[in-house]
Amino acid sequence: MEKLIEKYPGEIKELKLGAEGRSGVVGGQNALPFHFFEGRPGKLRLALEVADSEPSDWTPSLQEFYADVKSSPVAWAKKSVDVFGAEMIFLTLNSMEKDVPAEEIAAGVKRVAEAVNVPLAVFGLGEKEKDAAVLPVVAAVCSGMNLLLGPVLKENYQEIATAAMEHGHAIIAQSPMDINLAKDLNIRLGKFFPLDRVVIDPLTCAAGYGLDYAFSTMERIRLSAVVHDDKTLQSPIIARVGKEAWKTKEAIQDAGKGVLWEAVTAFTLMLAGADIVTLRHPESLQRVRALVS
Amino acid sequence: MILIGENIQILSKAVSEALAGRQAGPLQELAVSQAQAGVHWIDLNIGPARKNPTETMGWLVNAIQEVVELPLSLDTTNPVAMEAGLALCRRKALINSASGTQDSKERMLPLTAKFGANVVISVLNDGGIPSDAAARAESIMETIEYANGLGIPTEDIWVDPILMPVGVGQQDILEVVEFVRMLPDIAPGVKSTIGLSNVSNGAPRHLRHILNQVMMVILEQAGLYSAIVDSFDRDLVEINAGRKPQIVSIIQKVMDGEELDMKSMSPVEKDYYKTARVMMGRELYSPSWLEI
Repeated sequence: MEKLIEKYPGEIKELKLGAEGRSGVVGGQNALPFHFFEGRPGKLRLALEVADSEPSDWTPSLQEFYADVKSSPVAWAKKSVDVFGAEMIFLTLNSMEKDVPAEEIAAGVKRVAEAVNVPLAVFGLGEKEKDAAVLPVVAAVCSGMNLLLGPVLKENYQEIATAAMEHGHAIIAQSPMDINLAKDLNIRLGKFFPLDRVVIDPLTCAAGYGLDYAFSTMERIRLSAVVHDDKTLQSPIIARVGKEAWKTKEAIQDAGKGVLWEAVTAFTLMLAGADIVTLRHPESLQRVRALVS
Repeated sequence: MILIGENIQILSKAVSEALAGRQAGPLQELAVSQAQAGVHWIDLNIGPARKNPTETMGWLVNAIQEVVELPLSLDTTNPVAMEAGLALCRRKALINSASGTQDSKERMLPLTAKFGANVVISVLNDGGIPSDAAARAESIMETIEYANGLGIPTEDIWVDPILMPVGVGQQDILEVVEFVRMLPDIAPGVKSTIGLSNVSNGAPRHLRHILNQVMMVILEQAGLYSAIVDSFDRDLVEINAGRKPQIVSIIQKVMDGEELDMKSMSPVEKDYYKTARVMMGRELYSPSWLEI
């Protein structure tokens, strides 16, 4: 019988993150998600979220779960890697909400980066001015550590991406669930920043809360990149699942449901094309890993 | 292609103020300058006209007819205003617009028959805007048949496929083009029109014209009879008058699936080439499509 196997013209370049000895790769596929029969699969990363200061917006069940480490981002990150098996740490800069000086925030990031042997993503508040003020300082203090810094928005990409490039970091380019705007931001970035050092964050919704929109946006981005060889969209995709899953009423009411919600949302978005998923509960990480490995 | 000038429209602040204050001057000026720009019809868009519909449309039709000879396209969703305007039009007017919705069939289409007017009929029906070319064809055939039953000849019907913004649905543009190509076969003798500027809705302001122009050329090639356009887009009027054959030729080649070498093109030609590729679905749209 003849095998009808598609060959696609486009590919996602492999993105290496983390300093020597702590590095890992993501992406690198020349086929659609999980189409192992058609080409080279991409490297996936299951990240656990760590907050750089005690998070106030996490549900009580998660607060309780991380009670022993939540006041120490270094301990939290180490436990996430060593005990829970995180393949990446997604560090959110909650301390920015309290207007902690940027140098202090950056020093904290550096301590976390040095404490773990997996790549580190560092994520600001998503507020254009504050992020543009703090993330370049993080980039400088952690120079050469090859972090993944974000979010970079249409309004502040110049400041943050310039600093990231100067200090050897990759970036997360965020756009509001619209493939045309994701492309727009990458075109702007591509004028001075290497697009193979960009991860696209098209925003995420949890299952039952608009997941279909997130899914179709990610799916279309990946189809454009791989099937239609759109050079401006050939970047890995990140789905920030934890935050969305754990604010659903189902997760707040019942931690068990929360784990399922998080795992189902993450796996669904990986089918659409997400290469990095960020999670809050290690049990959902285990469940997703069981599905994808 | 027949051009219908869209610039007297209620969403413009100047127009809505002049209309509310019954100041004929600015509106007449707009009509005259559109005629001078070279369009063939003048659209009078007064919106839903909830207050004084009869008086508003009547006043406007009279004011515009004082200064231009061009035929008028009466653009309101209010059948009462529509009827008042139709009664005053000196030339055979265009009703803009009817559709396949029950409401439109009951209230707009009978006016068309009563006044022997032309009528824009969009593919909209009670199920919404059809999603592809075949669904558009199905919807319009049903409405045309209904209109014929009221005594409206097919030749007086201007089919509107409904054009969505390129940033909303790039694929939909191809469906519209395919639908326009089908029209002579499914409804021989029928005319067609489209709200052209909608294709660039949401695009950066300074780039709207080139999107509209390329869309016009593509639809013209597909057989579109007329379009509702920005009269003050000089390049659009020039292209339509056949004064930019080089640009039209580039767009035609993209429609034929040719890959052209941009090295030999002028910067302006490159822009048209890139835009045509976006419109034909060859390149994913982004607001910075000209900068790649």
